[in-house]
Amino acid sequence: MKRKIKVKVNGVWYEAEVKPNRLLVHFLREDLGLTGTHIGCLEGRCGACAIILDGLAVKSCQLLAVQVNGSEIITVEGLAKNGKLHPIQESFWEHHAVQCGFCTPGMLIAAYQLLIRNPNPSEEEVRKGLSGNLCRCTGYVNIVKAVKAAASKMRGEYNE
Amino acid sequence: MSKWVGKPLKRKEDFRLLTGRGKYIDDIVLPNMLHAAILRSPYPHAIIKNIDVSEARKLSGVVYILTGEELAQMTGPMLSYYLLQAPPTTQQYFMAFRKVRFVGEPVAAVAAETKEAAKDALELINVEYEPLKTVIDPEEAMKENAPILYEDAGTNILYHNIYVYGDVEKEFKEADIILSEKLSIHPYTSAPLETFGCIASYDGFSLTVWSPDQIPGMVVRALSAAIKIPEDKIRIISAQDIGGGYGIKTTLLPYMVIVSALSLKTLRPVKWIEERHEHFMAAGHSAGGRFYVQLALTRDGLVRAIRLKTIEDEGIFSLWTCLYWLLKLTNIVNCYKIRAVYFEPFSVATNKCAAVPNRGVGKPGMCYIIERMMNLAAQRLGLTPEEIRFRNFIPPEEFPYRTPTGNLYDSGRYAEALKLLLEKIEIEKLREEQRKLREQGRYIGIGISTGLEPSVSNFSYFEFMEVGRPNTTGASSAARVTITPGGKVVVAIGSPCSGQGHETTLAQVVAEELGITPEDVTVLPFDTQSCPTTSSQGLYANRFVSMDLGAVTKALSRLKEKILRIAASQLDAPLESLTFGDGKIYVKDSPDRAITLESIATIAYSDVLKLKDIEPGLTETAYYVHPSADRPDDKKRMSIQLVFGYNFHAAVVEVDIETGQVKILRYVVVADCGRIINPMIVEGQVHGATAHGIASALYEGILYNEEGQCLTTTYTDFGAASAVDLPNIEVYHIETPSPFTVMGAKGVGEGGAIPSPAAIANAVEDALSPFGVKITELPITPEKILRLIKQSQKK
Repeated sequence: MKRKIKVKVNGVWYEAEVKPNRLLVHFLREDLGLTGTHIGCLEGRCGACAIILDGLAVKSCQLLAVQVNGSEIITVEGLAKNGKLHPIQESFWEHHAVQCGFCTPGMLIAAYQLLIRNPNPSEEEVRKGLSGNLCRCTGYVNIVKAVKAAASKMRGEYNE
Repeated sequence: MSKWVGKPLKRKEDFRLLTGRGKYIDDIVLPNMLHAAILRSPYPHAIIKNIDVSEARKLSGVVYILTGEELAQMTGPMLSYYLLQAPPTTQQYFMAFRKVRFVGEPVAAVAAETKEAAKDALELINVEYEPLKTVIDPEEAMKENAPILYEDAGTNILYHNIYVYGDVEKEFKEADIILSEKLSIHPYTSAPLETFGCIASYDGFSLTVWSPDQIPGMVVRALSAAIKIPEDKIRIISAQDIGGGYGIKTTLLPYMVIVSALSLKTLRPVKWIEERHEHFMAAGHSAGGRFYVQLALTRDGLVRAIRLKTIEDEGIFSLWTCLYWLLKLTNIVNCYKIRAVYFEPFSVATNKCAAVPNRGVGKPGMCYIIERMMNLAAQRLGLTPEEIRFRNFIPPEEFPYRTPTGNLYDSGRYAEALKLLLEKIEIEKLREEQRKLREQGRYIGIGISTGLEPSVSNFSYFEFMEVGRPNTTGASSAARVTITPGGKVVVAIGSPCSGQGHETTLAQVVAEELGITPEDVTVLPFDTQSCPTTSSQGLYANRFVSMDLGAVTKALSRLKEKILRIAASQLDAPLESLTFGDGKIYVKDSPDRAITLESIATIAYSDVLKLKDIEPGLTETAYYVHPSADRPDDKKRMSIQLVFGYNFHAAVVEVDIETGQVKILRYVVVADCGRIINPMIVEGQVHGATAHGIASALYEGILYNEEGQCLTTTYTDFGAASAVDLPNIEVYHIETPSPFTVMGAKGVGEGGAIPSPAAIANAVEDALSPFGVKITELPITPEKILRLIKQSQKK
């Protein structure tokens, strides 16, 4: 039996009928076509599927679509506003924090939550804040640098 | 003065990747597409008595079920053309046929209307197995009474040979000291965040395959031979974005065959995306190795000769067997002036998933062997680890240097690089600090590892081993550069890209050469029918910067000549007086006499009568062969790889002797990859590769139990390193251009992964030197450290 859900994704409300066992990540990728949210493991480890759900970063492979009825979601596609990249995206670009790009959406989301909670994190705090996400290309070196740089950018210049 | 080459340009690829607009294999959806799922063996070794698919067929949504038997009838066995297969020959198939040899081996495949239906159908396939005795340990597998994986071979030793270079006997007889050791390395994998996957679409006439394969240009011929569709009717399109490869994605062929066969049977597009646990159990990992090694030394610490017997655990011995020992011949003498080499490799089949190329392929193991031995030799002689290295380095004036096994090292300044490394870590101060902390009961260790980074495989190695592909030699690459009718540039090369920033690096080089900006350069995603390629081209062996760029540069120089001819006739100036800059071609001495590249393009494509005797169009394709590629001589000497950079590492660690935990306090790298085109990208490559090596030395690995079950089928069980496990990696460069590559650039993608396991092992051993502990196996887990400390205290 399909269930009806209504969910706001990147500022737009969507209504859909989904099977109760449909994973949120499949709903986002396949039903809404938001393929920026990636599947790296489906075991809740790699974080490539991370999204912001009602203000919190969550792994969308660990939730069912029916669980987000009435919620508000931001995916990687929703980070840039009016064609302008979010400062975290800018910093990732400037510091070469992207190689293959597969972990990038989830890393951006993890960094987004981290910097909301802690606008001035130490290197250790950044590393801890990203430890729910895996990257196999960068050794995390430039990702950590980018998040630190984004933090100072956001403290100084950026108002949402 | 270069305008673009050498600059840390932000990558052209990144905007799409940062905004969720990358196009990876799983993002591609075709109309009327079916989904595939694969049934895998739960047994490590068993006879397939029967496969009953009748129940599965009845499930709604199931369109086709392909068994190993049916696929074997379609394809026959894999051909030795694309196997590095030695006598005794073994018959291998793309899916298990009559027998399974490891847990996870594909047994049947289902194509269904949905992923869910395909997976549900797997549950309904009834396979009757007759389990056989299993062999997991490679040295057990070599014994006479071991269970045999390939009956037709009659043994599990699928390759064995002895290679001798120089007067090994004499060197050992005359040696003051002979050091002997048994070392081992475990299987590990770089485990790309994106798993395998592919889509095949057969329309009754031609086949199109989308895939993240690293060597599509090579694979297309093998796919053609397997599914009996002529090569010209097969098009492999690389996914625009590939979520990491690291060598593992050179082994997608069997899956491309299975999925293509499903499309052939159903005449519909079929998509298959590997799940994470499937990747860990069945995609392949590095070869575990047992190494019996001896060094012959003088009392001054000069290493005269090395003897190495290497036992490579090849698992089920699949597509790229023998590479793990073969590539050890590229760095068996590392950066040292060793005069004689005895090398005895074994490739052994066991009931495990196949050993496949993984970042550095065999070279990290070889570096670990020699760099561990150098430290043990230094300890024996009372020398510092750096002193013994300084005494043995090949001096800069001896380059190009021919090693005893025949490798031609292009360039290097090893002593200078090590000096820089020592300076950066402030070695004297650090040792003083180490002494003080030790008095406080803290165990700090310093590990140095100086690793050669060989790149660009010389396919004459098929001839060298007398196995595998006949009529294959050297190393070659192809590229095409086109100026569009609007005066912009489109580049096509014969290999895909999985995150190394080729679009950006190529744009920098093209912009430099043509005097334009990188924004005006577009690089096509690879596709076997529209990009030129050669049979040795692909995304592997650090080839891009030496080989693909070699071909691009060659095409560019032809294109430039034609542009200059057109410009010369239009400006009425001698050809030699012209140069490129600011999107124009102008007379050097009077820059006002100029014509834009756009105007040249207009003439070349539209205003063609102005061309007079010049042919219209502005596109050039070029094929490039590496100039030092040779063939084995009568003494079996040859350059197995062709370009030689190096990465020297220093690790500073602290070992907690209560818990066995290792904490990396500092990690410093000095890298020399010749001329650097984009320093930001180069540094990123060093970071990533180094992280792989550190993680495999301390945390990550593939484990099997004695029954042959893979125990590490999730990232968590595998121990994937996160940001809290890895250190900041400091990178410094020296630039010694290669005289043999077009731009003097050398590969840089593997170097970090090569010396890092040894650097960590050397550092941990140094930290534990008060206990007299010797590190002989990887990974160095807390459990092992505690055991070693305990054993030493018993003594």
